[in-house]
Amino acid sequence: MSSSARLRILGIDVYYDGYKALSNVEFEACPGEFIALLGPNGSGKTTLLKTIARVLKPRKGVIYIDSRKADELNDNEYAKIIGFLPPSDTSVIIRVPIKGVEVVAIGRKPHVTWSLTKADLEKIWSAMRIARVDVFAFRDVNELSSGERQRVMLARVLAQEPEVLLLDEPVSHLDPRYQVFMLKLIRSLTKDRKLVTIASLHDINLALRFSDKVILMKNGRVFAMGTPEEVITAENISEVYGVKAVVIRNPHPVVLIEDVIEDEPP
Amino acid sequence: MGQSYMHIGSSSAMLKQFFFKRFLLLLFLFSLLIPVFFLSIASGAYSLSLGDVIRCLLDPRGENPSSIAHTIVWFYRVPRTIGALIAGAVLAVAGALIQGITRNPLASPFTLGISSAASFGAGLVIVLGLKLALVSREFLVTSSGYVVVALTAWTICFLHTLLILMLVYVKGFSPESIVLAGIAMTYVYSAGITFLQYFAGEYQLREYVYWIMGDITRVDWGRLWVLVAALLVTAVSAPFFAWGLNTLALGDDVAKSLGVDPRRVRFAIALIASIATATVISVTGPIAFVCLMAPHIARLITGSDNRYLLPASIAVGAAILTLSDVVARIALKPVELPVGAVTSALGAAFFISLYMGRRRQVVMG
Repeated sequence: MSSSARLRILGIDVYYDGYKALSNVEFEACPGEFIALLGPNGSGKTTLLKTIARVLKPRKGVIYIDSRKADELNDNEYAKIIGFLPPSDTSVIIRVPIKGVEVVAIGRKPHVTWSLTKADLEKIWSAMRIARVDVFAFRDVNELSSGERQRVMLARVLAQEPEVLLLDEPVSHLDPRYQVFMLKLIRSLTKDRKLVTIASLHDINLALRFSDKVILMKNGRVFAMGTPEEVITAENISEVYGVKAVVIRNPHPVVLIEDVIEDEPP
Repeated sequence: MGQSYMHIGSSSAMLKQFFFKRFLLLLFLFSLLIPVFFLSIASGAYSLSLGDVIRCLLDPRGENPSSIAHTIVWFYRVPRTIGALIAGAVLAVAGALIQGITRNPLASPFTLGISSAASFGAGLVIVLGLKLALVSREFLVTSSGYVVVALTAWTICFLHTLLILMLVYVKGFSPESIVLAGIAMTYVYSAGITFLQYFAGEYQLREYVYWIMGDITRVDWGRLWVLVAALLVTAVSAPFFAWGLNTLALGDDVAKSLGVDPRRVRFAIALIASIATATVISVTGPIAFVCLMAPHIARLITGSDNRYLLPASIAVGAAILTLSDVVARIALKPVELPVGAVTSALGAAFFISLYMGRRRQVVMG
C-alpha cells in the first residue's frame, strides 16, 4: 500500500448476453475516499463492482488507474491494485475444512510465487488482527458464524494489500454491532492507507453515516452522485427505490422508509 | 472466552510455526513410505524376514541366482511395490486436483467418468475383440495382448477426456458442469459395459470382471515405466497450480479478482488429472476409492493449502494402495485378492466413519 491510486471509470457498458446491465457508467474516485453504492436490487451495483474487479468484461468503456488503462495491466498486476470482497452469503461456498489463516493467506496470491515469506506472514497476521479474526486463525471457517466468516474474508482482502477496495454488501448479513464495527474499520483503513473504497450497501443510513460520496444507481445507470446529503433526499429515494421516504435532521440526517409506492413496479 | 486471551501477545511467529509444522508433517508422511516399502517386499504367500529383504535388495544382480527369495523380491515384489506406490500416488494427487477444481470433496477422476471409460475400452478388446475374432484368447494372455487392452482403454479415456472438456467448455467451465458431464458420460459407459457383459462368453466375462476389479500384480518392470511417466507429469505440473487451486476454494469471482483464470486452471487440471489417471488405470485396471480417500486423509493431516495437500496426497495415496496390496496378499493367504476389492472395502469403511463423524460435528456445532 505504498502508492495510492486514483480510479476513473469512463463510459462503461456491460451486457449479460443480450441484457444491458450497465449503461454509460462514469465516475471518479480519489485516494482516501469511501464511496457508497446505493440502489435497489438489480440496479447494477454488483455488476459495477465485478466489472471494476475484472470479474466481468465491459463491452464498452475504459477503467483508468491513475493514468494507466486497466487493460495495460496483466491479471496479477491488477490483483495487486484491486481487491474484491463478494457478499457474505456467497463468499464461502467452501465444502472442505479450511482454517482462518489458510483463507487469509490466499489473499497473498498476487504477491507470492510459492512460499510465504516472513513479511507475508506478518501481513497475514496484521490483516487478521485488524479485522479481529486472529482468534479464528486456527479454526475451521465453516464452524464460524456468518458474521465471523465475513470478517475472515475481509482479512483476506486486506492481506491482498490492494489500493482499491471493492466491497459487495460487506455488512448485509452482520448484526448491528458488527455492521458499525466493520464500516468504521473500513473507513479508517480508507483514510489511513489512502485507499479508494467502493462498497455497495442496502442500508441507506449506514451510507449516510460512513461514506464520503454516494453513487445512487437505477436500472444500470448512475441516477445521482455526490455527497451523502446531496444524494440522499426524500425525492431521490422515492424515485429510485419506489418507496415513500422522509429525511429527518436530528441534527444528522436519518432516512425513514414509510411505505411502498403502490403503482410503482417493485 | 478464555480463548480470546490465548493469542494475545502472539505474532506472525505462530503462523510460521503453523506452516512449518505442516512441512514437518509432510516429511513425516513421506518417511512413512520407507517402512511401508519394506513391509510390502516382505509380505505375501512366501513371507520373508526383514533380513532376507535387505540382503536381496542389496544384491540386485543376484550373486546367488538359485535363491527363491531373490527371484521373488526382484521379479515380483519390487516392481509390484513400486507400482503400488506410484499408482497410489498418481490416483491420490489426481483426486486432490479434481476435488480442487470442482470444489467438491466427493469428486474424483472416477466421477469424471475416467474409470468407466477405461473399463469400456478394455471391454471392447476383451469381449468384442474376442467375439469378432479380432484377437485370439492366446494372444490376449500374452504381454502384447495386455498392451492392446491397455492402449485401447487409454485411448477411450483420452477421447473421453476431450469430450468432457468440450462439453464443459460449452458450459463455461463451472465446477458443476464438470461433475455433471462426468456423471452423464458414466451412464453412457455403464450402458455399454452392461451390453458387453451380457454378450460376453463365460471366459470373456471372467477376464473382463477381473480387469475391472483393478489389480497391481499386472505391474512388471516394463509397465512400471508407464506409471513413472504418469507420476512425473503430475508431480511436475501440479505445483504450478497449487496457488490457483487455493484461490478457487473461495469461489470463481474471488479467484478472478486475485488474478487467476478459473477456466484455464480447470481446463489444465482436468486434462492432466484425467490423463494421468487414465495412464495408471490402463495398466492396473480401475482401482477404486484411492483417489477419493487419500486426499481426504491428507487434508485431515496437512490442511487445505494445496501447497501441502498435493504432496501429502501423494504420500498418503502411495501408502494406502501399497498397504491395501499387502492386505490383498496376506488376508486369505495363499489366495491373493485383487487390490481393488481391498480398497473398495477400505473406502466404504472410511466414508461411513467420516459420515458418522460429520453428523456428530453438526449436532455439536
